[in-house]
Amino acid sequence: MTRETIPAVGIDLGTTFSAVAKLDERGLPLTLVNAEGDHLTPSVVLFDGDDVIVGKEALKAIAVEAPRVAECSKRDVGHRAFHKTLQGKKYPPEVIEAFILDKLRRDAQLQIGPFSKVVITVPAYFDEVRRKATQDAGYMAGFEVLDIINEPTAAAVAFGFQQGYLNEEGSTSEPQHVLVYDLGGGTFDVTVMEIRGTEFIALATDGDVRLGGYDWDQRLVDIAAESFLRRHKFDPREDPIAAGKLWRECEDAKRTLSVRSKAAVACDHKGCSARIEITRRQFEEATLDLLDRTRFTTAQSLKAAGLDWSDIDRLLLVGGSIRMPMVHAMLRQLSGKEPDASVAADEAVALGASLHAGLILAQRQGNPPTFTIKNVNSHSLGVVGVDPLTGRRRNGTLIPRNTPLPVTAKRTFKTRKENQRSILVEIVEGESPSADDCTRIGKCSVRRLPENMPAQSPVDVLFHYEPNGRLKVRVIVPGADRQIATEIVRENSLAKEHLDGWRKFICGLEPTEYR
Amino acid sequence: MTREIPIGIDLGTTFSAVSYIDHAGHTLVIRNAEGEILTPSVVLFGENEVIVGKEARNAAAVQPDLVAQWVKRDMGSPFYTRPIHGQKLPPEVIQGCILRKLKLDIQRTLGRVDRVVVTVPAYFDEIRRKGTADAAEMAGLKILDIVNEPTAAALAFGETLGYLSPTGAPQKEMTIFAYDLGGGTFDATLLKLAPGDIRTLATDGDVMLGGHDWDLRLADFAADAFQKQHGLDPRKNPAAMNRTLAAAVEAKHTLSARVRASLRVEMAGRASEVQITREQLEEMTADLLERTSYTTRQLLAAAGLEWKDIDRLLLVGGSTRMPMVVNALRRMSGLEPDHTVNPDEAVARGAALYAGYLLAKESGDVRKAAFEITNVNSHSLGVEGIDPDTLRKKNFVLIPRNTSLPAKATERFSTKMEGQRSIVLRVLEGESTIPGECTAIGRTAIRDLPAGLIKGWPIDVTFEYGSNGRLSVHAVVPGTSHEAKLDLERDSGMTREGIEQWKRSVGEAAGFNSFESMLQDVLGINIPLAPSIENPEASPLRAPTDGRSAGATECSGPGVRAYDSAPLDDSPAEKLSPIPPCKPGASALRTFAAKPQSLAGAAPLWEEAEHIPVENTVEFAPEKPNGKPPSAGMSLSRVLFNAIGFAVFSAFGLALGYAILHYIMPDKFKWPW
Repeated sequence: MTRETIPAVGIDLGTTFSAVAKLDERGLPLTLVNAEGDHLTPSVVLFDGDDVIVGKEALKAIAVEAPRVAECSKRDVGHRAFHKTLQGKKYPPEVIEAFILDKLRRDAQLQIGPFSKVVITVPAYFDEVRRKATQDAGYMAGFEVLDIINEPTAAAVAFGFQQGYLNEEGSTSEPQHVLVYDLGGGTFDVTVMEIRGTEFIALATDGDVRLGGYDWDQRLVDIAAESFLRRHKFDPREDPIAAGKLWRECEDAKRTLSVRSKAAVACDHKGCSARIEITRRQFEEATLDLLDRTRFTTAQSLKAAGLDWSDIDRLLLVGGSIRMPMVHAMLRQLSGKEPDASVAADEAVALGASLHAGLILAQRQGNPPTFTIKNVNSHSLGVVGVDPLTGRRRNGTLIPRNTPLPVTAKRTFKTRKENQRSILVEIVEGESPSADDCTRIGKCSVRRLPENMPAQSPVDVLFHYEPNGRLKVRVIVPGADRQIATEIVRENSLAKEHLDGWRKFICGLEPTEYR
Repeated sequence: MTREIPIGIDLGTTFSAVSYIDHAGHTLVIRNAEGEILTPSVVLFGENEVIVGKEARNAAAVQPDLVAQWVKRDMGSPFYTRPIHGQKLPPEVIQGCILRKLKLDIQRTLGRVDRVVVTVPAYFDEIRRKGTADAAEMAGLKILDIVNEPTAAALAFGETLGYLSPTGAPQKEMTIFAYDLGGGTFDATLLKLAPGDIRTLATDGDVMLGGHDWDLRLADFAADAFQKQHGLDPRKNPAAMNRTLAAAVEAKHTLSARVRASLRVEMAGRASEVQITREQLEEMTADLLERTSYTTRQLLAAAGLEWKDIDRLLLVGGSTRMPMVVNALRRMSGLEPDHTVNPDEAVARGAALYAGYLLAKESGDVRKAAFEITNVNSHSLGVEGIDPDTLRKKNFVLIPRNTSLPAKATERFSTKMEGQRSIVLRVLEGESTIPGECTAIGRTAIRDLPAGLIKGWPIDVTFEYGSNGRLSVHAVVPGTSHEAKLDLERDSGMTREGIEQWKRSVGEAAGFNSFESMLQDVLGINIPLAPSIENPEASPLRAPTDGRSAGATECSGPGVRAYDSAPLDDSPAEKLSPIPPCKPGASALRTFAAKPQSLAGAAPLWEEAEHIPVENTVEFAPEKPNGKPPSAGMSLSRVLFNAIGFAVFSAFGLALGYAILHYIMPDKFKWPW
């Protein structure tokens, strides 16, 4: 009987590494290993002629065939195309992500048999477009994405499980405030959560989608390259292969510097070679500004949650980059608390995702939930309107950031002209009042409005924002007595037929009803 | 609660792993200080520290002479293949260093270290098992038991499928074939899983076959290519060879995912980029794979089974990731190889489960010890005697291999001569009928037999082999009160003092500081020496003649294998077989504390028994030392030849050099004539 149930699988699709976890027969989450025997699969794709190779081997290939390797594609999600042309082709970043997901699926299948239902995690700070793209990547890889959840939330769930909060007996009566500091390979997230019994409530979230261990690596690359340049008058960063090789060396040196006080980087370029010694102090000085950015964001999000450090019960560290001693030292100094690194830094997110998948699957079978998650939105959502006073384009916010989800918000706008027959609703995400400083998510248009509406007729825009961070828009024109649910035409998003085409190409599966 | 935490250690040839069972009953793998699940089984004996793991492996490319790796393959030999810091180290000591590092990681993760289960290849013989237990002892680990790797893997597999509880989901029996190809050893084991019952049917293997051999082939291939291109052989330079080997390992991994790879060989400022395809690798290692196939077929035949009787073909060990392995097994068996357990972790997890089982049994918690494990012995056990037909020495097997444990067997032997006063019992392990081809694992003697016993007097020998791998040998001379008992316990093979000495050296206290004291002991002069071996002349037990003294002098060094010879000291030498000197490079001969009991006043029964006599003469099965004895010196003609050759070539070289210089700078270097 246990063998027939659908496995609850969670995927942490990271910038530099990905992990897959499932719930075992007893409901305990455990990470699965890939075909190479590792719990973490490098999120790196090598386009090798007709072959697409993902993982460790692709990572190794950076040192010799960098131009054919796509790394850190998660950073480009939300853009139209990956920043690098691979074998003369431009790939959408979500397609590269789909190749990674496909590899994760194939490897996991060896151990748990075929499965398709998964929960995928995204940084809390991912915006609507990026979430949609991640969901698309899941579809192209042949998955049915049950839900998209935030990485810090998943980590907190894993932590809660480990602490025994998820059992009736183990649940705490006292609400606990947990600040999750998640410094991964490519993204940084801070989330303040309240764990009340079996409820996981996000109070505030903030982050930086372009800050992670990768940036620390690049600083090491710079130190090494400049030292090399001084010695040999060549810059290894100019040559993609030398740069790729150097990056791998530096990445390894970074790990060494977490346990030792100095490390050596070997660099070969144009027949010259050098062994460059870097001390931990040197490294910490060179990356101080990066660490400061995380410190600033951490303090900000605590403020946004309306809390003080004295209210925080746990300072939970997640993500591989928290192994750097400087992170602990900074947080200790900032918070006056001892950071808690008791969850598996690299696996907690995937474990939490699998717990969430288990919850959804159980709910579908009519079982009561064992825990609940309440989320907030990470970015303010609004529409572009024209300021009647200045005549300039302005961002009219409907859902301010850190609003608990799900939420439906309404705001009334007015038509501009007499007999206006259509309205273009431009949806933007961001905190700035100026529309141009915000991210355009997409637009929807309302056509065939009733004739002869006077100028300044009210038009209600309703946003319905789901806990998974996906948006639905409705427009109501009160006079017209008409409700229009509109499809958002997203910026930089792949059309359904493209998604189907890629799906066929990547995993050989036929299209399904997917929106 | 002071619940003892079940801990399992997979001490592998190339990598080691540790697992434990948490309070929820979940098996978890312990990460080392470097954050990794697998710790390379490599030891660097640095100038003032001993480093184990990744860093040590990286150092192999720069300081190859200070690095010890693949030590597990040398288990059973007196010393590691090559001296470190000029010092010959017993492999147990190096393994002890690895275990010591694992112990620190356990300590760091769990806050304490309880008793552990350590795994060994099923095909490890008694001496190698004993050595593994000694290594743990030296590392300050308390051994709960030693368990076979495939059994552990099967436990991990059984847990996943719910076989470890009688109420587990599957109720039907399942026969599984565990194909365990690790870094250095190969094991094939047939097991039967029934709910709550795990039974080993038969086991076979090869302790000298593993992924490392594949690496060596690849490295050879690359070295040949380099030699062709540059005329230099990287195999001659240990650092270059280690770098080439590291590149070969990477290339092997690449070839599991891709169809071609390249590996870079660098030496003396030159480099070759060697291309290799998966097909090439498969061709050049086909014979290695064939060896595993052969063993696999042999095992099935031994168990009287066919492929259609096998339900699952379980893959264990990192080397089973090679597509050639999976394909060959698929072809041979018609079964789809099973990837359910993680080949790297399954053994450690299973060992932890086994530890949990033993602890539960110990505390009488029947609910938790709800499964039974039955093992078999991997090698036949017997005694050396003389065949009455051929009058040659023969290995008389009492417990054949693949016998379910515990097992007990009794056999009657008889004395060889009239008036024989003592009997020597040599315990052998191995399949051959020729004692010289078997491993002598123990020895005992019955002495001071009543005078005047007739020829052919019976001697009953009983072997009792416990499921924990402990063999006790009991010999009784009916009609007399003479008997001998020999307990081949894993915790008493190496002399107590030897282990204690090394244990102090490897370091008992917490912290790496104690490694320094170890270094002093290991690499300094403070090496414990066993008097009886150190000075062969002083030993009353040394063979009086027959030119084996060369072998005996070779044995000087750390006396960790000193024989507990005291009780035999006062015995008449001509009545006793000499204790064989240890063979350099060969499997160590270890005798165990023999306690011959001499009881006077026995009433002899004059009865004839027609049985094979146990030899009591000084004649001895010829030892075949593996290592060559040190050559006594070159023959005179050869020395002369070399000297003349040297002189001629030196003169020629000098002349040539002078000539060249003369042509370059004619003014400064005038012709001397």
